[in-house]
Amino acid sequence: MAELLTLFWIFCKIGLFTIGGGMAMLPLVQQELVRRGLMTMSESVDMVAISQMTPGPFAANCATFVGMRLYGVPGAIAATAGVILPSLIICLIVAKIWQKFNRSPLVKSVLSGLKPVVAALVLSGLVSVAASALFPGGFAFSFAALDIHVLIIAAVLAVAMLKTKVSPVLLILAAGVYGAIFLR
Amino acid sequence: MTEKKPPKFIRILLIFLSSLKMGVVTFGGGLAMIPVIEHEYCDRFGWVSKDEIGDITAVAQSLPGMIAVNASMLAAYKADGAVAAVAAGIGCVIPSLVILCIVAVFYGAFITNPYVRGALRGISGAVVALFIKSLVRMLKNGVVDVWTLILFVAAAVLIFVFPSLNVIFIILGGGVVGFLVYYVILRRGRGSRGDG
Repeated sequence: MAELLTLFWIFCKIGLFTIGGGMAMLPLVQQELVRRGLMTMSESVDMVAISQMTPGPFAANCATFVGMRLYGVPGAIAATAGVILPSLIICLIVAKIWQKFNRSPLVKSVLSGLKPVVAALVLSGLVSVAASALFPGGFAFSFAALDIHVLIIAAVLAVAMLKTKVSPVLLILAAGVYGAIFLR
Repeated sequence: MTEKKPPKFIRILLIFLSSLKMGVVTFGGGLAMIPVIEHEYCDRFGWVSKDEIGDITAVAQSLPGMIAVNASMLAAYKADGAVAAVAAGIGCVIPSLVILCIVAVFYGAFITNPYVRGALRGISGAVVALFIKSLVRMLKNGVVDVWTLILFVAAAVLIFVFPSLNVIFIILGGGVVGFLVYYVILRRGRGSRGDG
């Protein structure tokens, strides 16, 4: 029970401080879960992959996946409830004061400061994911340690995602099929 | 409005069911759900206007939490108040809960399979690409002047140089600096309402 409450509380914090979409939550997940030894770095990359490929909100998928892996169905429910609770409360309040909130220069000023910080969080998530995916044996400044296949996939898909309108889910599936065939 | 609405509990049930549906059919999370919300609430139910969806999208992205949950809740609140909002918020994560529980069980069983490992290795490249895409979008959207550029660099330096620093403090710090810069310092430049 204590573990479930801890998990619930961790995901409450993650839900409260995830702003502007799921990718920014990875540094928080890592700080809260990987450092406590509840999850490994490579599992966190798998969590992102699986949560992106499955339907529904990314953060809810991550929460369910992590909760289920740790403590089964009760863990999944605790983590998911935790991650949506801040949204539930905040949205009810904002919906009530909608007009004021929507035009408030105070709110706009705070958001202008939050956005670049969230971008920095995404950068930090990118670096940790890239380190784990490109250097599976641990980071080293050598070509031997670099997974060149993964590097090529990442480069090609980044261009495809930025320059075309092909669905990211299709691209992820294609990378998975390629990996299953050629990267065993 | 000459059209009659069904009774309240039916409306809430409809909102809950359509949120369940959204949770099942939307891949890619967040913003991918907005067109579906628009379809359900504007075209199908006619309880929310298209203009309101635009505002809802903007606010949903700037509030804490999941964009999809926020947007569904705000739309449902507009349509039918607080109970509908809670029903919509819970409705759109229930599919995640069910699907990911099943997936997590399979993950445990299949993670040692070489095909699965290969697939995940390929997908890890795709995850890197997803982060690049997300970063580009966030930079375009959030780094718009010299102040936000300084904030971005400062936050990145803090995160990388002091990895043990709690991320939450960095986020809060960004909000405080935004308030100080845009509300306190630059307010006069935008034509203050004579409070100085």
